[in-house]
Amino acid sequence: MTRFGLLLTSNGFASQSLASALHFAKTSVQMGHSIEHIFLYQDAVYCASADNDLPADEPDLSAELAYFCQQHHIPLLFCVTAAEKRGVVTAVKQPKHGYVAAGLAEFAMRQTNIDKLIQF
Amino acid sequence: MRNILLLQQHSPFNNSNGREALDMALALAAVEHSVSILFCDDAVYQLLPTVDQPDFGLKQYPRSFKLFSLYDIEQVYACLESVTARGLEPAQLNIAVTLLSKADIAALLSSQHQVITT
Amino acid sequence: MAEITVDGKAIPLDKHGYLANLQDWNTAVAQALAVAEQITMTEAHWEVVHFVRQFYVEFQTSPAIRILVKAMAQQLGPEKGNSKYLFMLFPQGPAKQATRIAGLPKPAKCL
Repeated sequence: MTRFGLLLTSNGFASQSLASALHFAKTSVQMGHSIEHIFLYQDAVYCASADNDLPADEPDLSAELAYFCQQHHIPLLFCVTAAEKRGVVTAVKQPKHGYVAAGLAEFAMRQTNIDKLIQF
Repeated sequence: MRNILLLQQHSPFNNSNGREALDMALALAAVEHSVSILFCDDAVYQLLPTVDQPDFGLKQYPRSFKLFSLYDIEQVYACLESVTARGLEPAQLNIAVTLLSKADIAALLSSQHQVITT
Repeated sequence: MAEITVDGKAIPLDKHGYLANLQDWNTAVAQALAVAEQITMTEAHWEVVHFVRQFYVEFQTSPAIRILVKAMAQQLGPEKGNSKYLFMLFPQGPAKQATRIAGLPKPAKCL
């Protein structure tokens, strides 16, 4: 069994990265490995926005990711500074349901408890 | 404590990757990981004094590279091939870096627990 | 936008109460910001404020508490470079309060 940490840094709307991360996470859990946390940084923090408005025929991957993490009790964290800089969250604007604000310091400390870090 | 390498690949002009990689490096070093930084490809432009020009227009974050020693980040590298391919001289670089060949880079990568690409 | 009045002149603040324009800073502005932080400036306070300004000029970033302690210990000795001393001067958080009085941007929340 391997303990994975996932780091998402690319824009999940503009690329396939979020779909790949979700695929990887689902398969890992299925195969008996664990996902210790998923951390969103750089442009990946756009996934934490509550305001994405997608037409019905486009997959809402960020909602799917939040659902998956909730099911498996995986902390789904985003860098609050990166999100504030991009206007994803503000003092009056909450993140999307299931996404938890965190700091880089928390990400740094969590690196000790994983076997492998996978970046998308 | 983990050996963590931040692999920088982007110029300071095209996106915020370099700027945010710096914050990541400092955060990792602050909790006592052994952090290395490698500037590859267009990321070597982050090391030029160009970023000190007033018309750079973005935050002059590369000046914070001088913080590395305060954070005990001593392994700061640049890819020799990337530097020479862009017609740059090591003397032009703003901070002291160790230049690595492709073979050195392979050895560096294999000595890490984790590599974060930005 | 929020502002602070110094010598009859309105100085704009950002939404966190920090100076909106770094170049608006002078000692009178610092005094006014110190009042807002409920701090009476002494020589010891000024030393820290000038130290974080110098730090910003050199590194283009406001120091987080851990680094402020370390840098002050290196330059001014361990009796000033420790968090107990700094918290005595700035009880609500040295990095937060000293950088505000120094007219610098708010230090990043996540570091």
